[in-house]
Order: sequence, then structure tokens, then C-alpha cells
Amino acid sequence: MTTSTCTHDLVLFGSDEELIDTVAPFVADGVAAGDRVLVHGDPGQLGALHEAVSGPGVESGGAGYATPIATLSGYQRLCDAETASGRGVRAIAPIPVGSSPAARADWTRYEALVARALGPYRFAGLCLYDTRVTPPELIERARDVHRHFRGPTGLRPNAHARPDLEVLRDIDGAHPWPPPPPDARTALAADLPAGAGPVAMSTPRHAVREALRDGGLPHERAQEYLAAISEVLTNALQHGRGPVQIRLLTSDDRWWCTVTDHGSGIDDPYTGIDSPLPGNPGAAGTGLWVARQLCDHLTINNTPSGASVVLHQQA
Amino acid sequence: MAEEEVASAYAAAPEDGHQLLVTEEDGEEDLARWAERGLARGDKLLVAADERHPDGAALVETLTRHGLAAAGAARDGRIEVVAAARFYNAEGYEQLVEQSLRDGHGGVRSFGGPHIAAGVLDPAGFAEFERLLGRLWASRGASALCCYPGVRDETLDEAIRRHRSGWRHRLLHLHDRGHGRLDVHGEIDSSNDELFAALLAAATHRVSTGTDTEPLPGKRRVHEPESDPSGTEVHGRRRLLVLDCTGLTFSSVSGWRATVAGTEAFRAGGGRVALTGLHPLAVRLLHMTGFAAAFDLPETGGGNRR
Repeated sequence: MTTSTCTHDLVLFGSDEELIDTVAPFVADGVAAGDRVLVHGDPGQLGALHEAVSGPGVESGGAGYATPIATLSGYQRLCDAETASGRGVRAIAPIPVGSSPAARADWTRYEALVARALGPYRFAGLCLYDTRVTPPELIERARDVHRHFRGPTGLRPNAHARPDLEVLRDIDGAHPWPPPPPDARTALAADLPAGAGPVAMSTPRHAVREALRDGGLPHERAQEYLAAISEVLTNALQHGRGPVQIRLLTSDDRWWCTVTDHGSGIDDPYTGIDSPLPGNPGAAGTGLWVARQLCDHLTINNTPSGASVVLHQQA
Repeated sequence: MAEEEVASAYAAAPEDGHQLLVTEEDGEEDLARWAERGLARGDKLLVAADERHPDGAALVETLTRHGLAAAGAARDGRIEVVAAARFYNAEGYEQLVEQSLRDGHGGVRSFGGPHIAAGVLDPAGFAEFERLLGRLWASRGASALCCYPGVRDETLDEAIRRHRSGWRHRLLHLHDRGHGRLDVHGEIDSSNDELFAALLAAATHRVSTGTDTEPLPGKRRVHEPESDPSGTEVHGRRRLLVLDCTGLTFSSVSGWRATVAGTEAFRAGGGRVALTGLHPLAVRLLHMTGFAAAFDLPETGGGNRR
């Protein structure tokens, strides 16, 4: 690894031997290059691998892979912290299968975002899929989002790979985050007029805080949601154009907050994904990046009249 | 002075003292809260007359509109609108303070600003008057809230330096406790993040030069450089700023960025900034954004919950 090339290879394995033969040289190369080498995964399932590759310079990854967005931003932080040292980061990890179609779709979304999110960094990832237990349709999706396979004999190109953006569009089409049901209660409807300055922002923020109080979200989740909404609101006031509308809906223990502005829209589908951290020479904005990490999911829709950002949160 | 006395005097101070109010609005809401505090304490309230409040009746009307029982207080002689010429006269102002204390009021607090003084004092005269307000807080416990509408840039820096006790802006209140300790109360967002950075820059400069400690009202100076209890002073220059965020109920990412920016020079000069009383979400945001690296944070309260 030399400059900021980010690689992200697919490992399909059917036995411990195959896995170890694939991963061990990759780990050894990383250690020799002085990279940080992290091996994730449950030692109960990947015990043989951990045992085979453990040694000086190899870290056993603990947490991580809880949610796709936390995993992505976690790697961004890790890589960014190493930019000063010049060290690269190598990560070897099984991708969580997910317990529901929505969760599975979200991990595919993660895979399709890796190349962009970690693009500025010296990152090399191996995504491990055990063909013995992974449903075939997930293997198929994994083939969609990796440029290369890695096996015991090294790297080979993946002719099945599709453009990331196309995959993301397909996932969003097939597995949209559930919209509010027709009988969802409107907890707040507030408008900020065109020309409203940042001073005007505290009023809807206080209204959101009030609406979330005793609304079923645990205190910490409500605080995070409020912070996420506030960042999106700031963004709409700074980059969009008024009037800015805020709609907060709830049904059971789910919440939807839609912030709509009347600016030129948010064209970049990677908004809030690109790293705002100082090691990224093209550092992006921080607000939506943080907002994505503070709520369950954030959807950006462009309408003919502006941008509409939906923040989802569930108790 | 016994330490308990010091502690209680400082504990009382966030809402009192010689404070700066920065505002883009008319400051009416702030005046009302300032008056509310005064009425609760049994203070006499002195307000410099301006176009909005030329007399007591106008002031009572404003305060009543903000939910205060101002009419009764005015009848009891606890609210007085003072003509600018008398208010902005060092001798006249001191007499007002002394008279109010002789009359048995619990304390004195005033409200005014450069826009009101402009017809009476030139800028140098006003600066001198501000120094008098600082002295009267120190010697007589007379509080003063100085409203600077629309102040910015160098004028803002100057205004910040003039006020030792604290600074307010709508949702934000920063209180300088001296000894390298700052309390921040309220909320920071994109409406006041730049101001917050400017306040921190001024406060950290004051800390690094050891000029941040004001004498307590009616007492002798408590700060003796050689007896700094925190032991953080090096050759008369303190190297540690403690920013107590217990009262900070909200901060946007831009607020934390402002905290980094406002303390930059101080940290570059070897100073350390400790953040205390952080809410769990604040800790999480600081770690998430990498801003945590700039500060000393408490060990507990892990930022990488997920």
C-alpha cells in the first residue's frame, strides 16, 4: 500500500483452510508493511483464523459491525487517525448477514459505500462470506459490490461487479425505509420563512425537543435524534433556501422527521458519507455525516423544488 | 476568607456581576430575566432611560408583559428608570448605588449600554465608566448588565475584555469564575457559535495571563497567585482552563468546532483545556468528530457506544 488507494475485496470461502490460505498472506503483507491489521469476527466462528494469523502487529477487532453507518464512520476515524503516521489500515471481517431483509439490504448498502467512504485513505479490506451458511442471494449481492475476489492464489477481477451507485439505487428501490403509515400522528409542523437566519433555528429545535418528550423514545435516543434533526436543519438553512418545513410524525414507537428546503437540492448521493475528518484532503461537511450516525437512517430525496431529508428513529 | 465563603460567593455569581449582553435584538427578554433575578433577590433595579423606556411606567409595562409583578415592585421603590445624564455620570451612579444600599435593598443591579450612553459620554468616557461598574461589583456587589446591540469584530473583543464576570447572548451564558474556571450555560448553535469562539479566545487569553480573577463583592481579593489551590500555575501563568459544561443543555457540532477554535491559541501555547460536566451525547459527539483530541475529557462515559 502506498498512497491513498482504498481496496475492498471479496473472500468467498468454504472451509477454514481456504480462509486461512487466503487471509494469512494478506495479514503477513500488512504486518511487513507496518500497517495496522485488524481481524474482526466472532472467535467462536472464526477461531481457526484468529489462531492462524495472530501474532505481533495483528489486532483482534472487538466491537464494530453493529450498524453499517457506525462501522463506516468507525473505519473513517481509524484511518484518519493514522494519516499523520502514514500507516495504512487492513481490516478482515465477516459481514453480518442481518436478521431481516431490511437489515440485509442495509449491509449491502454498506458494502456499496465502502469504496467512496474510505476512498481518501490507505485502507484495504477483506469481506468474508462463508458460502456454507450464507444465503445464495446474499452471495449474489456480495458479487455486485466488490471489484475483486481474493482467494488462496491471490487476487482476481470480478466480472460481476456493478457500479456502486446503481446498486445503491436498486436497494433503495427494493428496500425503502418504511414511510409513516397514513394514520401516523403529526407531532410537529413548523415552517421557517425564507430569509430566516440561524437565530430562528432554536424555536423549531425547542419545539422538536418538546414533541419528543414522553414520546416513547428513551432519553438518550431522543437526545441523539434531536441533535441529528438540528444538524439537518442547520444544513437546510445554510445551504438550501427558505422556506424550510419541518414535519415530525410518529406511529407506535417510530418517528419520521422530514426537513424540506427550497434550494437547488442535494445532488451528491454520498452527502453525509464522505469523511469530514482532517486527514481527508477533500474534507466534506460534518453536519449530515454526524446526523447519519445519530439516527437509525437518513434518506435524502430531491424534489423539483428542493431537498427533502427524512430522519428515521425507532425506540 | 474561609473557602466556604469563597465557594458560596462564586456560586451566587453566575446570575450576577458585571456582565456583557451581546444581542442582535432589543435585549428586552434579557432585561426581563435580569430584572426577575433582581426582584427575587430583593435588589434595587436601576435602568438607564432610553426611547423604549423613558420612564418607570414604560418599564413596568414591559416587565409586566414578560410576566413579572413589576407594578408592586415599582410602588415599593425597587424599580427606577434613571436619566442617561445621571446614570452615565460616575459620581451620580455611585451615589445611586450607595443610596440604594442605605435604603435597605438587598443589592443593586443596573441595565444600560453604549447606545444609551452615547449621548452623554464619548467612547473613552464610556470605557472608564465600564471600569467603574467593574469596581462597584467588586467593592459593593452592585451588578450591571451592559447591553451591546449588534457588536462585532474588534468592538466585540473590546466589549468582552471589559466585562469580567460573564457574557450572555440569547441562549448562551458564559460565566468566568476566575482561577481558570469557566461555566457555560444554555445552548450553542450556528447563531452563536462564532461568538462563543470569541468569548473562549478572550477567556483563555485572560487565563494564560493570570488576569482572570476578579475580587469578590465586598471582600478583599481572594486570588493570590502563589496560593493557587489547583496547582496548575507555572511561573504565574495558568496552563489549565476548566470549562464546566454541566449547564450546557445543547451544542451543535459547530459549537464544539467553536470550542476547538476558540481555545486554539491557548492550546498551541501549551495550555490544556479540560471539559467537565459533559452530557453523554456531548462526549459521544466529541469522540465522533475527533474534537475530543483537543481536550482533557473525563475517563468515563465512552463515546463509542455503538
